[in-house]
Amino acid sequence: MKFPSNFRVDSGDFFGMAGEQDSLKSAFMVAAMDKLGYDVVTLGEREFNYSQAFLLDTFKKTKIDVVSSNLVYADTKKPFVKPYVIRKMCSTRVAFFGLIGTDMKIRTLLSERALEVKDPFATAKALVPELRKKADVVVLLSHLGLTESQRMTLEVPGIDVMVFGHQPGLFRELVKTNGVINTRAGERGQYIPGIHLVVEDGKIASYDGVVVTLDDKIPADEEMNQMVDTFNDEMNRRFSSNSNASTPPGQPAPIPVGGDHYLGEKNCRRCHEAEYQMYASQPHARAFDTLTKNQRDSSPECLPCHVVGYGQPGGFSSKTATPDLVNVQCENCHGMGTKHPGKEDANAVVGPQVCLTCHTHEQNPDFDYSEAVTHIVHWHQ
Amino acid sequence: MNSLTRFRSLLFLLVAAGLAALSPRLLGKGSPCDILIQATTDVYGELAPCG
Repeated sequence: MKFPSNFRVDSGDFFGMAGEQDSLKSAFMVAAMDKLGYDVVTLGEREFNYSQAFLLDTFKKTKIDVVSSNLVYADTKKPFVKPYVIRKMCSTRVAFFGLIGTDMKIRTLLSERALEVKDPFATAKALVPELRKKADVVVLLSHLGLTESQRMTLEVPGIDVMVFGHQPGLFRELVKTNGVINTRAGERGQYIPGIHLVVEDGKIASYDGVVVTLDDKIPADEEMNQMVDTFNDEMNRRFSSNSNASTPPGQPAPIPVGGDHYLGEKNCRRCHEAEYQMYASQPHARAFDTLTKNQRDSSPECLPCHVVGYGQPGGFSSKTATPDLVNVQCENCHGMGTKHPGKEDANAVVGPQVCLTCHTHEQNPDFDYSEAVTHIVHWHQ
Repeated sequence: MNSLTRFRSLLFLLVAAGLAALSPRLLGKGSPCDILIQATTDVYGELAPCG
């Protein structure tokens, strides 16, 4: 069935955490959402991780409406972005408004005007009756978390549809709570809940929906793949030139005088040849190849798990400056070589917690420690 | 009231009644409207994998 009125919305937290790479990725994420045809988004606390200007400028380049009904400038009490939008399609007026929780930490730079998060319940109680007069369907993009969102359905009548944000989680089916059709979309774009409303005489006559899992059964969009690949290539080139700028090509990174530092596998091999030989044929010894193959071998967010001691004393700085420190080597799991005191070394035996620092759920959703460890046996059993 | 005026009045009433009858349709009322709302949240991590 083709829907003439297909709205794409997001309930917040589409920006990353901190740093140059994250900010570039965040801007790319918004550009990709625009390309995908998103209509309306609301803001989470993460959207303030860079600056207000960065956030507003990023959206100026798009057709996406940003709404937040209870986020105002502290001095004037004027809205930071639009409190709501009404989109009319197929003769039906749909109002979208957004709310953010008062417990969210909104990062504000010293040079920026302070923002205030007004009470979401008082805001909604005042706004929803106004929206009901102007629209046939009222949709809340809620960045309040699960508990507060559910409380909203009890305390504020007049909301037809609610999209949960802030707390990851997934409703595999549409749920109706206190008369409000609601959905929880999971995270990382892995699921797309679709809420189908049939509106007749200005009222929702019926509804149904389905949660689509974006797995391998859904064919990839070639244009979007190309866009992501181009972005990743540009990022890699950018950070490659950054890292090479500080150290002349072919020159090793300076070893700190005194203090602990990384030594590289050559030093370990002097005493642990048998272990080294076993390790050398295993996946960790080729971990850098994965990044090279995917054009990510200068990516600051990828390097820590594919080289030795990235950004730390005596550790990897770039593939030209420290070529002996590529791949996952002994010190990634057992610690800095200069901290290796002797036979009683506490780091000799490594537990799952060390592996899980890199084999995270995001990177390896199917990672099973007991199975994986069989591929890296380099000790006498 | 002459016949021309009566005719004009009758014509006006007929047009007005027709418009009133059609108004729900003209305003889009009466015909069902299918709307699909697709939603996401926390999408940033989608770009995380390093390979």
